[in-house]
Formats: sequence, C-alpha cells, structure tokens
Amino acid sequence: MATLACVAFSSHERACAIDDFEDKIRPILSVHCFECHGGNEDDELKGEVRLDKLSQDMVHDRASMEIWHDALDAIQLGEMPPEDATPLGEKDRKILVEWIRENLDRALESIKGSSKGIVMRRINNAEYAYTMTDLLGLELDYAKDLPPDPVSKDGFLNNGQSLGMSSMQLQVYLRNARAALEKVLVEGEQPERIVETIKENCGFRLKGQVGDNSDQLGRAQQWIGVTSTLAVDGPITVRVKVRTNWREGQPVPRLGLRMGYFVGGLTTQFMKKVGEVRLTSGDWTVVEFTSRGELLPRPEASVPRDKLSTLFVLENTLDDAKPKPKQITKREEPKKGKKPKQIKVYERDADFPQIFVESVELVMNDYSAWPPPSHRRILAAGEDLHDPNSRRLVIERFLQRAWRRNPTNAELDVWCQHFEIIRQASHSDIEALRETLAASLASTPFLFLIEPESDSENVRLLTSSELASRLSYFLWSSTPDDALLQMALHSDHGDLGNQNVSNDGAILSTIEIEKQFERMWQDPRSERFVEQFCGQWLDLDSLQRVAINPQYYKSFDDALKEDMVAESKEYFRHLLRHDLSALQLLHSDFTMLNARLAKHYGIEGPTSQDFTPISLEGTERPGGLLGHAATHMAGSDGVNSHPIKRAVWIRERLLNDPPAPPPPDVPELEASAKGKSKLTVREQLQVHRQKDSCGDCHRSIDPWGIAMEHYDAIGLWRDRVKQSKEAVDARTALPGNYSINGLEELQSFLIQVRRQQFAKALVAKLMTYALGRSLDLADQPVIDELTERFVDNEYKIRLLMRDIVTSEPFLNR
Amino acid sequence: MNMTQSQLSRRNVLRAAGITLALPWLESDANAGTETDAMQGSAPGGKPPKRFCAMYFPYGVAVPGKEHQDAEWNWFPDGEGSDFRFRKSLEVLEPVRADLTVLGGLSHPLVRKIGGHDSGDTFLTGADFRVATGLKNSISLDQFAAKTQGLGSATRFSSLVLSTDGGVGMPTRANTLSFDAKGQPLPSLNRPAAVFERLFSMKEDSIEAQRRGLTRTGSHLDLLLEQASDLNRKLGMQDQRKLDQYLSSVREVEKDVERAQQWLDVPRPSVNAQGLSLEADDNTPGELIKTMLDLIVLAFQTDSTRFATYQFGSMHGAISIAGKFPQLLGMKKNMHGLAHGGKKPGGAAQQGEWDRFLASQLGYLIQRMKDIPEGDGTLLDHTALLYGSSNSTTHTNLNYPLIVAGGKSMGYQHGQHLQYGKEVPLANLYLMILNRLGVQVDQFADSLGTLDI
Repeated sequence: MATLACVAFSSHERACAIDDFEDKIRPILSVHCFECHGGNEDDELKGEVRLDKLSQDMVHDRASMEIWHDALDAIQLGEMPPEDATPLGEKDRKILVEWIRENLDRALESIKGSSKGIVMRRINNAEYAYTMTDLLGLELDYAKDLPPDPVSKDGFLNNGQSLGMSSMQLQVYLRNARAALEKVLVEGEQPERIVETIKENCGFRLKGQVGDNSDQLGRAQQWIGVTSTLAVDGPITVRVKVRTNWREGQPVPRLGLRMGYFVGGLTTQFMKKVGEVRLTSGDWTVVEFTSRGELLPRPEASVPRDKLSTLFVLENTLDDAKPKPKQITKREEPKKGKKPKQIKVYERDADFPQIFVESVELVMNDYSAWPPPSHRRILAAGEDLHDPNSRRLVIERFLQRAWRRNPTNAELDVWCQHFEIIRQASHSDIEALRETLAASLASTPFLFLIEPESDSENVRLLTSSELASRLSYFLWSSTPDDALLQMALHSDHGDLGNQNVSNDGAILSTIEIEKQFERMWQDPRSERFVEQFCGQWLDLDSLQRVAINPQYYKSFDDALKEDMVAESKEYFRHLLRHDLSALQLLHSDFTMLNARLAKHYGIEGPTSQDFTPISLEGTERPGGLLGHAATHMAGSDGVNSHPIKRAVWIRERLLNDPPAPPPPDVPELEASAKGKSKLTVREQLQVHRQKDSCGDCHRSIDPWGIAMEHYDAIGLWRDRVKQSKEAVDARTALPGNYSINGLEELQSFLIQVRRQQFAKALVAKLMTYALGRSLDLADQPVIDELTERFVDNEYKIRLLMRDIVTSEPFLNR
Repeated sequence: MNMTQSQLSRRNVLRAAGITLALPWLESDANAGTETDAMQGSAPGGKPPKRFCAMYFPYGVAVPGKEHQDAEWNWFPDGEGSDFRFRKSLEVLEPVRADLTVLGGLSHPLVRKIGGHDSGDTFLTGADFRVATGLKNSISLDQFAAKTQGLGSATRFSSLVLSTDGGVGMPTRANTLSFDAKGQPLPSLNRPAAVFERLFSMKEDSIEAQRRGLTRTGSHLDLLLEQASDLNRKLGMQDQRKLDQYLSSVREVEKDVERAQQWLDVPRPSVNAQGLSLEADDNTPGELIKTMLDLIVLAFQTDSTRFATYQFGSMHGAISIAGKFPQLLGMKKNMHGLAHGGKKPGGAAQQGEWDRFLASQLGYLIQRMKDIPEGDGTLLDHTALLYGSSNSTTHTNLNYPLIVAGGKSMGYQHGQHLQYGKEVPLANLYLMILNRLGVQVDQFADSLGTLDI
C-alpha cells in the first residue's frame, strides 16, 4: 500500500510495512503486550490501555489512533514492554514500530485536512507588498507593520492552509491602502517643485563613521551634505555632479547615496540607502537618484520641523574586499585665528578608482506630470466623477484590476452606492474615490485567491482569470499585469462573479499559457520568483538565526552572511537563466562569488561586490548547494557543525524525505561514556544510534550530516574541530550500506544513486510552491509524470516550470 | 554635530524643541511633579486598576539533582515556604524577594502527554492540544479576563500581545501566548517601534478628520462583510473556515473602531520615545527585551491597557529568531542547545547562565514597576506578573518553573517558595489570578479549585 506518507518517510530507508495486522502484528502483541493490555474483561488493565480490541483503522477511529500513538512512543522510548515482560526482539520490534508508524502516518495525513486540496489563500506579506506596488504604481514599505507569515510544514510561506487573518492585519491593510491612495490620487494644484543645491561637504560626523569627510571618495571617505528642508513625502530626485579617475581594467567604482535626517541636538542619525550608480566617466557628469520622502526615515509627527535637517551621505561603494586603509594622524591647516589641530584621516590607495564630487542638487515634489501617471491610471483625463456613468467605469476598472476578475453588476452597484455614501461625508469626489478604492484593498477578492468549488463536480477547470492569478503569483509573486489580465478576461465567458464554472470553453489554450509563461519569464518581475522560491525552499533565512561565536571565528564579519545567502540564490538564478541542469545543484565545477566571499573561500577572481560565475577547477572548494557556505552555516550552531541539522536539511529540502519528528521525551546525547571523559560529536551520535529508541530513525539521519563534517560553522574546510582539537572523521555509511568519506563522495552518491529522488523532490517542491498547498496522494501520478519529463528535458528548471503551469493540478481546482 | 548645539545641553534642546520630556525612567523623582504630569495618570483620583502580565520562555530551565556537580544551578530555590534560599539562577532576584513567589510542581495535566516542544501554545490555555483532536486550542488566561470577562474594556486597548518572533507562528510552535475564544492565535507584535506606534503615536490628523475616518471605516466594514458573505454561499468547508476567520476579523475591527471612537476625545498619553531603544532588534537581545518590558510598563502606567503577554521565544528551535540570543550574549550555545545540554557535564551551569539572564529581566521589570508610585502603593502592587515556561527541563511537560510577582493590593503574599503535587493542575493558579483580578468564576480551563498565594 503505497501511501504518500510511506513514500515521504521511508521509501529508501525502510521497506513499507505490510498492512496485515492479524498475521504479523497480533502474534507479536499477544506475546509481549496482551498480558497487561488485553485478555478477559475482568482482568485488570494497565494504564487503561487495551490493545487486543483496539481498532486498527486509525484513519477512521481517532481515539484508537491516539492510543497507538502513545503505544509507539512507549515502545520507542524503551518503556514498553517493561523489564518483567517477555523482551521484544530487535526484529519484532522493528516490524511493530513500522506497522504502527505506517498506519499513523496515514491517519495523520487524513486529518491534516489538506488532501481536500485548494483552499482560499490569502496573499502573503511579500505578495501583498508586490501586489500593492504593481497595482498602484507606488512603491512603499507595505509589509512593514504586518505580522510575519507562518511557515508551512513543507517550508513555504504561501500555503493557504497556514495563512491566517486577524483584525490586526485587516487594520494594516486598510491603513496602507488609505495612505497609498492619498499619494496616488491627487487633488488641487501641483505642489511647487523645491530645488536645493548643496555645494559643500559639511564637517558633519556620523555616529560610528569610519572614514573621513572629503570631496574625493576612495575606500574610506564620505561626502556629507546637510540641508534644512526635509522631504517627508512626494517624489524626490537627487542629482550629483561627479567624475571618476577610473581606468580600463580596474573594477568599476559606484556612487552610493544614503539619505536620512537628524534632529538638532541629538547625536543619532536615521539613514537609509537610496541607490547606487556605476561610474566610468572621467568628465563631470550628473548622476540621478530617485526616491520618495515616504521611503526615507521619517521623524515622529511631534518633532518640530525646524529642528530637522536632511542628510546626504555619498560614498564610493565599490567593494573589492581589500583591507580598509589605516588611519593616520594629520595636521590640519589652521583656520584663521584658530590653533592648528591634529586630525585623523585614512590613507589613500592610488590603485583604487576614486570618485570626485562637485555638488548635490535635491529636488522635492519632483512630479513628472500633474496629475501623476499613477493617478491617470485610475482616473483618465476627461473622466468626471460627477457623472454616474463615468464614475461607474472608473470603479469597475479599478475593481477589475484589484480583484483580478470582472466585478459582477450586482457588486458594481454596491460599490458605486458605497461611493455615494462616502461622498456625502467627504470634501471632494477624489476623497470619496480614495476611500472607496481603499476599502476594496481590504476586501476578500483582493486579499485572497479565491477559487470556489464547483456545485456539481469534485474537480473543475479554473476560469481564465483564476488561472491568470495562479500564473502571476507563481512567477511574479504579484497580481497579473494588464496584458495577462485582459487576455484572461476576454477568454472568460460571461460573468465571473456568478461564474458558471463548467464553461470549459473559457480556459486558455496550452499554447496561450505557454506564450504567457515565456513573456512573464522574460519580465524582470520573474526575479521575485527566484527570491521567494529559492529563499523558502532552501530556508536561507535560517542564517539569520545563527549567531556566529566570535570566540572561535575572530575575524568573521556578520555582513558575510548576506553574501553567503546571495551565493546560493545567485547560483540558482544562474542555472535557471542559462537553462543549465538542476543536477548542478548537487554537484558542480563552478559557483557564484563576489570579492568578499571569494576572499573568505580563498579563491581569486571577483573584483567587486557583484556575483560572477567562478570556476572551481583547481581549487579545493566543492560546488553545488552542499558546497555553499550558507548550507554549512545554517547547519551549525554558530560554533560547531551540527550534523543532524545538516542531515535533516538534505532529507527535507533536497530529497523531500523528511525524517519523522522526534518522539516526546527525547533523551539527550550522552556527552560521556564509560572509560572516556568526553565524546566527540561523532561519538555521541554513535552512542545515540546504538540506543534502540533513537537508532530507529537516527541510523538513517546522521550519516548525511557526518559526511559534511569537514566544513565548519562558517563554511570553511577543517582538518580538526576547533573546539576539541579532535581530527575530523567524515567517514560514514549511507542507507543501503554505501560507505563514503566526506562531502565529495556524498555528492557522487547523490548524483549516482539518488538522482531520481532529487529530481522528484525538486518537482514536488516547485509544485507545492506553484499551487500554494501541500501535495497529497492524488498528486503523485502527476509528480511522477512531471519528473519523467524533467529528466528527459535534461533537468532544466524553466522547462519544468512550464510543464507545471500546464499540468492538471495547476489548471484545475 | 560640530555646530552650535554643543553649547546646549541635550535636555535644553529637547525642551526648546517642544518635545515633552516624559522619561520617567530617566528623570529622577525630583522631576516627577513637573515632567510626568503630561502623562496620563492611571485613573486619577480613583482606585488604581488591576492588571495582569504573563511572560513565557521556551525549553524550561536547568534542574540538576542534589548530587550533581552543578547542583547550585538548579533553578528552583533551596528550601520551601518563606525559609528558602535562591540558588545561582535566581539569586539576581534577591533584591525583590519579598515581591515574588516561586512555584514548583505545577503543570497542565492535559498537556503532559504531548510532545515536549509542542506545549508552548498551551501555556496560558491548558487545552487538550493534540494532533488527534485537530490541534485545537482554547482561550488564554489574559484574553479570558480581558475579553470574555470584559476587564479590558475600560482602556484604549484591551490587551497587548508581544513576542520576539511576531505574528502567530504555526500550531505547536505559536509565536504568541494569547488565543481568542475560538482558540485562534492572536498575532503578537515584535518590533518595539510598532508597539510604541500602536500605543502612543501622535496622529497628525485633527480629531474631526479622525472621527470621519473612523465613521468611514465603519461603513467600509459593512461593505466588506457584505462582499464576503456574498462569497459565503459558494464556498466549500475548507474555504468556509478561512472566510470565517476573515469575517470575525472584520467584526473585531468593528469593535476596535467603536472603541477608538469612544477614545477619540481622550488625548493619547504623551510619551516620548527618546530613551527607549525602539530600533532594538534580534541582534541586541538585552536591549530588545528591556525595551519591550519598558513598553509594557508604559502601557500599564498610562493605563493604555491592563493585560499584556510576552513570549521571549518559541520552542521552534529551527525557526525562532530568539534561539541565538544566548550566544549573542556571549554564552556557548543557542537556546535549544543549552536546554539539551542541561544534563551534560557543565551543561547545567551553561543553561543556568541563561536562566539567570532571563531572571534578571524579570527582576528589572519588577523593580521598574516598584519604582513607579501609584495610588497608595506602586504600579507593582496593582499588577500581577506571571513568569515561566511549559517545560521543567526540555521536553518535560511537568513541574513548570513559575514565578508570580506583584499584585499586593489584590491580596498576594510573597517571599515564598511553594511546591505542589502532580494532582494540582496549573489552572488552579490561573483561577486564583482571575479571582483576584475581580473575575467571579469558579473554573478556568481544567481547574479543580484554587490556590492561595
């Protein structure tokens, strides 16, 4: 009986148990258990647990499932059978444990509730922020005040079952929508453009500033400007007049701008990065940065405006990972009537391309047009909100885009009516429109991907607009653009709100879907897929949860964590964008590095912070995800490697074969054994595996991690464990009795023996993400089919994704 | 800044800037009369309100036996009754010994059977929280008092729900201690700036504009309900549940709007953020926790709410951002690692260091509250604090390490170490807390009676 649970938990480590209670299980139980937990009605039952008459159908009998669960725990903990009962032999024990777990897994699966498939799915925080930005044409920090999304059992943030709703969120949605629409839909005259020119690099010192103030930006200089006006909202442009002495062959310098404010009298500044521009011109040029006041740090409303100043910090942000120059003390030319002072400056590196700054111009209220284009997208020129028809059209158009479907006439009536109600208490039509539209951005059709069930059938084809949403949330983590939506709406027959779900003529053809897929793939918004999927699949956030212990890693800079995460993401992106085989995730002869990470690895090549493909041939560094420092660090406790973490990661993320969670009351690893005062981690695990209760699972977990023992918490090779000085031993035996030594052999094993499992795992992970739900038994045939095609297509992820969007589960609900 | 400000003291500049100097924890008592009168005194003239705050930490504590080389790192004090001696972990609480009671032996009977790392969700609920019963939780102590019993209705916010991780997390690894009447988790706030903003932020809009905004929100909510119920008819069971959550959220906002309308004419307490590390985050655990505690004190002091919960970390070893706190504070392992090492040689001492750090946070909170005069006593006298975990040692859902502090005006007698038998459910303590808050019920969760502290 091939249940999914069976496949997921045990396909390779355990033969599936045979569902044959009477033949195999009852005999064992009667010898070891029934004496206390069975027999005659009058006999005393131990712990009120009776096993002989307990239902074996755990799926339909929850009470029995609970008791079997307890029984399993008791057996695994070695509590049962007790010492005075007939001891349970290793073989019988295994049969019993497997049978119970097998049935339990199936029962657990059945109450998990996901097998019913799709559930109306709230867009998650990242999707919400992208959706608002794309829909309104205004980028703000929309997700800032939302509570973090829950991670699903499969490791994803877009699982409809896990995503919840609360009043706190709803209030934030409403507040955000109002704030954004107030900026998008404008009234009155165009605010006056304010232009300020700052010629001087003032003497302002930033809190914690490393470097000296200068017009010439090298490795450790800042150009700092101050002006008393503060841009709190509206578009701003900063123009900087600069040149560089960059020469061909040198890495390209970049001008970075940070902006913020300070309160007169306080020593703290509040700064944020605005942008970065590459420079090669030796002639004076004007470089432009654009932002909005709302995106910059803003003081509380109660701080008086006249105490506030805007700060500009310009830096040469090129980072070639060379050491920062030394600080030297210099005598400052005395100002008139003042005494000469000793000042501290930083040495200059003649080989480092310098940037020269002449002046900075700040333009506030820098609207490209009035009303701005985002306003015109909602309210076209000539449309008059006084006119009921015009008004209806405006509201309809917006609802269509916000809801990713056509509003019904009845809905439209209600929303237009709402406008009128709001209008009575508003100063203007625009104000009422803002309010009305804001409400729609807290409504169910906006916040949820809704695919109602069919009245008649279990499964139905999605309407074109539902499909368009699935496509865009898969590839862009956002709402369909106008091209996709219009195409979908034109293929949808009739009224979607009252949809007749069986109108199968409505669906887009496979060719149309693939065409849209290709178009969307080319669009820069598909970068969000890389960011979201890769981050969630590989759990790259986990690096932020590891604190590297400076006692053991003295020179480790936490900023390197970001580069490590970027290596894995950039590598995934590279494979994806160049149609390379996904098997290179397991093993590869190159990786993506920037100067900082290359230096960490001790590899030559990159000369800036940009990631480039670097061949690993001739280096000791392994390629593929298992060679990435991010993987090693995530699988560490900040001091030492954590082989179990690493093993679980491989089985969960790369093989989609997560080990069962530990039973309650897990005993701790023994730190000592007779005759030896202290055991190495490896030895502790060995003791651990020898215990029956732990060994059942750990024999199939630990080896995966032990093979990676040569890599420490920061992803560097080690011959000895830093803390204990013990020599590293990465020899182990993988399930199936494959003896290996170290990472390289683990990689070969994966490629040779587990290639198919990995391929299937990646298909399942991508499918889970694409559908926004956990997979179940019903999905298995499609997963197998897609895996076959994936293999035939030389493991190209793009082609797999294309196959997914035209697969049965993606097209149906 | 190297300009003219150097001549002015920071204080003068602030004054000149018109920023209210409501920094009760920075300013000495001498200023209390002039500076803090800007603050909303709690229930001026009347009797100070009764409050409750619960704090939770994951994975339990070090409990080495008497023979153990690290026996002195056993979290529980030596000796019982009033004649007890703090061991190393809690000795930081010596200065406030008379203000607290240490309790041992208590636990939630229904929770004893579930996975050791699964019990965090039930700390304040005591629910029968098993996979077999659909992982259904029940209302938490704070929400029962604040919402069901209406004790939270007199303030601007009925409760304040805080954590390190934020949001709701996932079942068995909740990022919140608070659950509503349906057992749904209430999202927690985890950024100090967001908490401050929620409690005290100044709205630039006029009262009139705010009133108009609230009225509109009210009418939006009707529309949103209508829009959603239209959907209701078309949905299957699974969707229905999600929709229900949305609908109850809308109704909840409705109540909040009503409440906000009532509070509109009452100016928000003027509290200045300077002196609070509102930007503290998970990279500076000491500062982060202190700031959150400061915010709880401020919320109580200004009577913005009377109920608060704060989860220092969840038991999701792989996901809780708090896991790394001990290491950031210079300890050897992360939280989970410390807990698991508790029985290894030297492990209890290592875990004890962390227990001690947490205890010192509690000590800070108690002292802060004690330093704030209120009515005929102090803020602490009118606030019952509950501090503890749902594990004794890791994975063991028994013998919770618990401390009850404050609340003298509600009848609490402190300076004790009390041990209970396994037959006493923790809910007995909760019932007592409820009764002393003025809730006249004779049962909470699976309580069998009450305690007397």
